[in-house]
Amino acid sequence: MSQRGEVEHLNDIVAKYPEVPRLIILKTDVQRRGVFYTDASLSVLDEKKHSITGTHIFGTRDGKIAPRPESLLLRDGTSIITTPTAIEDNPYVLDLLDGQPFLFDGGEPIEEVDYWPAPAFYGKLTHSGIPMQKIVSARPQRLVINPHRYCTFWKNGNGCTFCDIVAQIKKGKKDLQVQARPKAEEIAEIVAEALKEPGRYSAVFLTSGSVINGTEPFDEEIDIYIEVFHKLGKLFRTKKFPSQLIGTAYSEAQLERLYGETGLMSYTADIEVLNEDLFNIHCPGKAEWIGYKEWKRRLVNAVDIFGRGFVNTGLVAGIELTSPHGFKTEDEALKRTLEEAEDLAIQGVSTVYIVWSPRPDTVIGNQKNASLDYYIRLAKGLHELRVTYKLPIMFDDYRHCGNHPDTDLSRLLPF
Amino acid sequence: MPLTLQPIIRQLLDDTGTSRIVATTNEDGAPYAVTSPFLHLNHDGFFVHLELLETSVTNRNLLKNLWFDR
Repeated sequence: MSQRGEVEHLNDIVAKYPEVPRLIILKTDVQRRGVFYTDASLSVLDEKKHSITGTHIFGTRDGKIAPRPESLLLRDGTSIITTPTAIEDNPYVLDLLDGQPFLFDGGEPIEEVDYWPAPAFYGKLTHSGIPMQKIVSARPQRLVINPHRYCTFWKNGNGCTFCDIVAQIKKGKKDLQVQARPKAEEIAEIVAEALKEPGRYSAVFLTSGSVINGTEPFDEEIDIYIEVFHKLGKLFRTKKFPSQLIGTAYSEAQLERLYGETGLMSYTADIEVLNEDLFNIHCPGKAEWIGYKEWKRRLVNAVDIFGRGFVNTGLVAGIELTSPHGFKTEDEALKRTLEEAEDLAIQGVSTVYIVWSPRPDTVIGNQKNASLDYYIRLAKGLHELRVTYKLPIMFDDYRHCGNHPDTDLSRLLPF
Repeated sequence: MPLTLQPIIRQLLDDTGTSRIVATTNEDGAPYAVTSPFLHLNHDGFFVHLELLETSVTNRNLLKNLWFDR
């Protein structure tokens, strides 16, 4: 499709789905196609004012580590967390219009954007001299902590097919001096500093690669999180504080320990794709150590511990359509995905998605993601399940994560 | 886009004794008004209305207005 054609396609989808805001459709399309930053757009990027790519837990579509905006911000508060993309791949172009960053497509101005404002703690050093943003980063109103950046599923080559976490930590060590395992004390020191900024943060968020070690598999992963939560807990007056963890799917005993011993309030275990055969192909480590049915069972068990509306699972939407094993049509993929998502919703588990961004250091990085029409139908479908089953999703919404088109739609939920 | 306001409006907004009310409409056009004690203009000329609740009627009306150009 020509560049001009892409503009018409966006407008077609906006006209086709009048119940979906144009800004959310645009966000989704920008995430789907990526962004190329012109020199002019980068010339107004100021690390003192703006949030610049920092911890780099995952790679970029153009394969480069370079200072770029961490995210774009639309006028309704919607974030577009996107990946820099080579111009040859026909992404949106970010350039300046009258000095203001603006999205262009086919040479036409599409929408004004801002860059995320820089957190006040960026640029400061920990007591040991490490730049704070190398250890803790920020989403709109959420502090993001990666206590352990390695994923042990890769030890026997069973990393997920869409993931480049291990390739990226190798690059990060060399190019960015990013630590694979920052100290819990240092993490708490940074969070304490971040919380001094009035009114900015409303939650903390922890995520890491999976760690299979322990008496029971993943005990060590939980130990790492608990150690960090204990240090963070000293910063709050209440036992529980707004927080989310994306981890492996834990056993009931592990979940009870995590909930009982920490301030954690919400829990996410990403199943990545809602189909057992595709899960086994794309997530061989998760399949080897836990298995698809058990992963889902553990998600449902977590609802008994954390409560309805405080447990969810994430999809890397688009991998279900990759060849040679994926669904043959988008209609079939949508039907099958939403059927399984509904089964989880009935049991209190929400499903959210990110737009899959094919990246070079991944097994399926040479394939294409899905159509814009598919992503909008998926966002509508997942949002409508939350309406039907009255599942709030505030802990993973536009203010806290900002990376799920479907939870952007849930901003209008009355609960 | 920043608003261009008569100087008297700016003066009123700077006066702490001024009563401030934000009125919105829902998708059916029904009006809904609330007091907004901290309503002010920021340095860039935008109105700033502080909301305690993401799920408030005012917030949802404002968002629907913005999303669907009403």
